[in-house]
Amino acid sequence: MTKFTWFYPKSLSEACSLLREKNLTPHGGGTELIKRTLSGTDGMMSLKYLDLNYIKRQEDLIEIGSMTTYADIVAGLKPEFPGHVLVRSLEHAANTPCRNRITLGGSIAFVPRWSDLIGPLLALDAHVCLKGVHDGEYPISQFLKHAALKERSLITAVKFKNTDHRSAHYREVKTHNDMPVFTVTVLLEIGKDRINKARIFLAGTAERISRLKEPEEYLEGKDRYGLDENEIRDLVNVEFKSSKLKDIEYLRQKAKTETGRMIVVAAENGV
Amino acid sequence: MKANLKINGKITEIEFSVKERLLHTLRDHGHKEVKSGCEEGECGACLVLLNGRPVNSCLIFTASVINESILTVKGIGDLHEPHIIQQAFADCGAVQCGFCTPGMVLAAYALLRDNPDPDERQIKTALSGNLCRCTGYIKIIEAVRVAAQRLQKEDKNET
Amino acid sequence: MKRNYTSIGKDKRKIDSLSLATGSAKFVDDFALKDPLYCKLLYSPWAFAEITDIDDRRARSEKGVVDVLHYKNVKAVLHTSAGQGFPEPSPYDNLLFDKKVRFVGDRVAMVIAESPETAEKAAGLIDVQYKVLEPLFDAEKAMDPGAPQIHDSSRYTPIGVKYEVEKNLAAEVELGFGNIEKAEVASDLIIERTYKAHYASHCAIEPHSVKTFFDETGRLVIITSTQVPFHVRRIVSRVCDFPLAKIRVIKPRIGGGFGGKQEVLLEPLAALATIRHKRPARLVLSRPEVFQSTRTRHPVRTHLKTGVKKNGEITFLAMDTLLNSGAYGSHALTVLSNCGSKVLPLFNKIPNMHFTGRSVYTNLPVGGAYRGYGATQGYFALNQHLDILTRELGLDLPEFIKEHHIREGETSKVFEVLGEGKSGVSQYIHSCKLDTCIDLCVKEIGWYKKHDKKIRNGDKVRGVGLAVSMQGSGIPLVDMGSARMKMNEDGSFNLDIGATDIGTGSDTVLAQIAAEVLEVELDKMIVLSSDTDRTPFDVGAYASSTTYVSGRAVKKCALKIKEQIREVAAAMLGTSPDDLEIRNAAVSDPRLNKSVSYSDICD
Repeated sequence: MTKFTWFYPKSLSEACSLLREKNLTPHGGGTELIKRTLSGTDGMMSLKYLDLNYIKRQEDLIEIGSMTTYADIVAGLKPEFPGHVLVRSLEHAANTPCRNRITLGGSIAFVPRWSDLIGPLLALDAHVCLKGVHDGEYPISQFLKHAALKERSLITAVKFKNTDHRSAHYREVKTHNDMPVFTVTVLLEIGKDRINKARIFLAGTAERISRLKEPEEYLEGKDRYGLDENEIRDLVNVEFKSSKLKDIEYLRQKAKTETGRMIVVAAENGV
Repeated sequence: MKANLKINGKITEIEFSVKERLLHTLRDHGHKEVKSGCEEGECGACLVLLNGRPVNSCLIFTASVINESILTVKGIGDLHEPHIIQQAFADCGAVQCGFCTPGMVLAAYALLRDNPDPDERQIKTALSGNLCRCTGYIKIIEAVRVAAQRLQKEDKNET
Repeated sequence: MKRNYTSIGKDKRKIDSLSLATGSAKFVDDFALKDPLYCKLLYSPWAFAEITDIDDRRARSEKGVVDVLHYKNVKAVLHTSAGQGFPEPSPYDNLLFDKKVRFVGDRVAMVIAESPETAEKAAGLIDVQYKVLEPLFDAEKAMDPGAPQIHDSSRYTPIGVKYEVEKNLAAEVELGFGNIEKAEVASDLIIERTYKAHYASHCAIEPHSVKTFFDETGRLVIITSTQVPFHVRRIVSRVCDFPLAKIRVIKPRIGGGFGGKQEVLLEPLAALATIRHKRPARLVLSRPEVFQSTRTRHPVRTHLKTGVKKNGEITFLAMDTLLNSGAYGSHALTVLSNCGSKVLPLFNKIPNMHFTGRSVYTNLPVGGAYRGYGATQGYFALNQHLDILTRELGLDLPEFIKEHHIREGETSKVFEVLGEGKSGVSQYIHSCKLDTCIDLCVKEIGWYKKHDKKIRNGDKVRGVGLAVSMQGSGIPLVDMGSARMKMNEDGSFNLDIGATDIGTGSDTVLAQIAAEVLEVELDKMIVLSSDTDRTPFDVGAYASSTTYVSGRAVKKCALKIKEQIREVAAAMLGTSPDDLEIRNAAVSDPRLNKSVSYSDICD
């Protein structure tokens, strides 16, 4: 076994060739990696010199570099898009020092069951940009299905359409600092007080992430101010993985209630 | 491995192991003011400023921050010349056992640098990564507010 | 009585606060050791098991491993880890390393190595053979015939109270007066309910830590995160079979205790490492180890039965308490006693009362001292019970409490009957402002507007609740503290106290008391506390007693110093001590208009 070593590539091409030659773990902020044993790898590849910390706007697209931290995403988007789904979700994720270190790329690479990020990215229909063996842009849903895409490839950015939307994000936690048991993401496109399109995702369910098609269809064409929370509630049917520490029925009911509430909040929200 | 770290303004060559956490590197090199409370990013006792921003040093590989700038609570003031925030914590009774205080003070320092006149909500958000088991936070929030006032006053006097 | 105080009751800065805020104050793990040994514990993965064999050869052959301690090579000395006054009211049921493990987190072995990494790695290389036993998880079933017996008959209580290991009974308390049966008949309504208070962890931000070394004279120095330095010295001496006179315990700054550090868990282990290998040793727990292997708040099941008449008069109260002590009996008797003794006297006019309390062993985490010390669990039950009772009767809870609670000048039979492992001490309430407190509270929280209503605000439903409780400071006729003072030539004073500041501010409070008595500024007090070599004895930081018990010692000591000052000043001024006034660090005779300062006196 080769000695565990750190690499600090200065360019993307250098990073890609390192990934081809060695079995390396790309390192963004490291908050997730630090809890792992990392045995069986040749070492770590720090991405700190690759200039991947950025938010770019190209026509109707927004591109965020994979080394951008949660704090930087919020700071970058909030002034112009205070109601953006990424602002609403990442602003309250974890705590201040953690948001200063957790990166976009790292969070995509290790989708935790409860992720605060994946629901919003799915709702935005975002694309993940890869460099390396699997060079290209992949819809986030496809990326999540195919773990092999991560092999010997580097997540460099995420792109999504700059749409005018209303959103809401809920984290199911017992205390403020907790990791959520599940998150609810609601994204609505609204024109003239009518809901044109709805995208609703629940992260942390038995299938990890669930798209709630039923309420989505129900909402299309509805008056944004005339929603019935209870009616929506009944359309939310998700399952949770059984565990000794969780009351499944409680989570089922809580998911219904919070999803219904978040939809109404998003619909009636000014921004 | 060996590399440079800029700790409290001083560039030092430091030897550390490849999987070492910044918390341990700092403590092993005399920075005992950085406390170890949980080693999983929950309590904030090990909080330091990395390039000016609060982070949990227990969640950071030392190797990932080489050549970067680290500020500990000793870097902003000491017993003989305390920083206004440190003085405010002492004056307001915001220090009980004091184990969380270095992290709290640094979180407050980063906040007041960016936002000289924060409201209570902003203070709470800034301190959201720091747990205190003794005080119930009321005195701590008050200390940050008092520090903000004193810093603003000092600014005015200087200009 | 009332006078213009200059130090006590004033807003003074905590004397150690600036050193803490600037990071220069030292906690246990901030002390540097030269070439230390690192200790790492191996814990039981089983709730209940017998260790049939331990093979430490693989661990010992690891480079950098110095020693592996376990039941085969450490002397078995029965003791309690509870840091209480001697003889302790807790049963002697602990060994440093036992052949049986009784909860997940019970200690199995300890590796002593040259580095923390080696110690941790080697802990995983110890081969332990377990014979898994049927565990006992339900405290309610602990005393059933045929229940697994957690401890054997070698266990005992040093104070000789009721203790039956074969029934898993760690402690029992019973008291009563009046006639419950008769009172039941005379009641219009009887309310009977069960309340359960759960486990809690102290969560002091500083994990339990200890460092040990031999000083240049060959004495064993223990720097430890403790609430009870003098109990540490006594217990380490006994358990490690090492002369007390050769042990010095130092308590530096402590990152919170809340009862969790009123337990002598790690000190004997680090001490053994140093004694055996003549080298400094460090033992610092990780956060998961703190949660799993140290102490908790005892879960308590309280069954309350109360009779009332239609007019709200309480005819009787019967309390049945079952305390789950976990695998060991730390504080099992005293916390149990306090469930009754701190709670029942609040309603002192109830003519018929009965309290039965039992502490039982289970194969669950071990309880211990935890802020409130039984009162928390007892009041948790009583307050819910009062709420239910007044609802059933259609009475107003605040008014109901005001009508029944103990008042100034009154006492309760419970005080006399129930002490800590013995009968109690008669106590009278000298001051009680509970009515004022309730009135203020009711007004401030808008009780009459909000009580019993659901007030919805966005995603939150808010309501109001009301609870009352009473606490006591110190254990009468058991606790003690002491102080010693020395005067310096500039009029400053050294104040040496055994009292233990664990972040509570007692160093400051006690200095304030001394400064008040001696009429000097607070900064004239140089405080040294909690060093068993250099400060006089004190039981430590528990029972919310430091201000009252140690504070009294400080006051007495300061008064004696003041008398001496007065005498010397009288001689210097050529007057009688009785004519002198002491103010602002000076002694003066107003008639002669002459004075001498403290620094003159001590020069």
